[in-house]
Amino acid sequence: MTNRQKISLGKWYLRATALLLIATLFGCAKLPLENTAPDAPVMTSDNILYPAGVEIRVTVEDLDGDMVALEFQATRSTGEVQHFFWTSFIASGKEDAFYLDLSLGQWTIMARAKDELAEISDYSSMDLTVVSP
Amino acid sequence: MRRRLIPILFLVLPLITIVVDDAEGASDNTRILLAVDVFDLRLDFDTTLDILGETRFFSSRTNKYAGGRFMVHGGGTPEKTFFIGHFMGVVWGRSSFLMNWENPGLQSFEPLDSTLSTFAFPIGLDVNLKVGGFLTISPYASAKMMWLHLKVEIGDEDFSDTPLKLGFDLGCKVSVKLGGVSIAGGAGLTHILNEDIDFELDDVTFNSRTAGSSPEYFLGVEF
Repeated sequence: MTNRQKISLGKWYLRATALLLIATLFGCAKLPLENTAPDAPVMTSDNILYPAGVEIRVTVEDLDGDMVALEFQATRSTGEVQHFFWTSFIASGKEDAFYLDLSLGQWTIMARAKDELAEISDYSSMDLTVVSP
Repeated sequence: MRRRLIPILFLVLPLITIVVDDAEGASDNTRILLAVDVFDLRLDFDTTLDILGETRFFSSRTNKYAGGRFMVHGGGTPEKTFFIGHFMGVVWGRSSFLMNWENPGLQSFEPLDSTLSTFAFPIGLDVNLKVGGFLTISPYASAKMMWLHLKVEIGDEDFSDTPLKLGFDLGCKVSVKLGGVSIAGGAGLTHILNEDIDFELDDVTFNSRTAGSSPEYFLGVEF
């Protein structure tokens, strides 16, 4: 190895070490870890208005197995829109029931899910005609 | 008194190690490892408190990590193909996650940004085996004092606490010599002695629990 090669190799080590030192000290080794947004919720309903409201049965699959919370939006055929809070968390892949405070008539229900890392799914929607029991 | 004694021991023991090492004339084999380090601490928070009624706080998985490792390795001589060495140094890192909170069965709220910073001072022994003059395989075992600093952002305010824990490591380091320096990497498992860790944030206590051993990976240069 010639002297010139030795010097350039030495410089390479010096640069690599300096870069690593900076990366280490200032925490540049930031690793964003993988997370997948949940699938859009799958909804079913018997369309009946119970005293607690209209029962919406929902299943959400999350590939990472995270728990999920849901948000509903109900739009009446007349254009009136009702928003509901994010629900408390439910297990991924397990069916759960929610009661929405709706009146008799035709509604479009939209729902989306949020996982533990706050990644939000696409909306899914369902049309229903609310009837008396 | 006991809580103070353990950190003091961890500061004194490395000094004793260095003195003994110098007496044996083996300090010419001192190596410094500088590496980026990922310590994926398996710490789950799940606490129910009486705030706005029954309120449950639970942590998400870690979503980001940054950290480093500075270690001084000693023992043996450069000529030996097999020797028992020792090491000490500092490992630091910061992981971020979200603290979710909800009124169970009713509603959930906007999650809180949280970070867990770790400062650990490992001291341990390694068994070094040189293969072909360029590769060194070093299984290691160490004990370390760990400061776990939890910070939770609530509104514009930060709430934090820093409990002190004792941990144990088992792992393996591999270094490949390239001229004057070596590229070194390794992996290990850390077990924290007490699985239940409480963080006192202002006047509330967040309970957490480690889920078994936590993996640690590092990659850097040794010179």
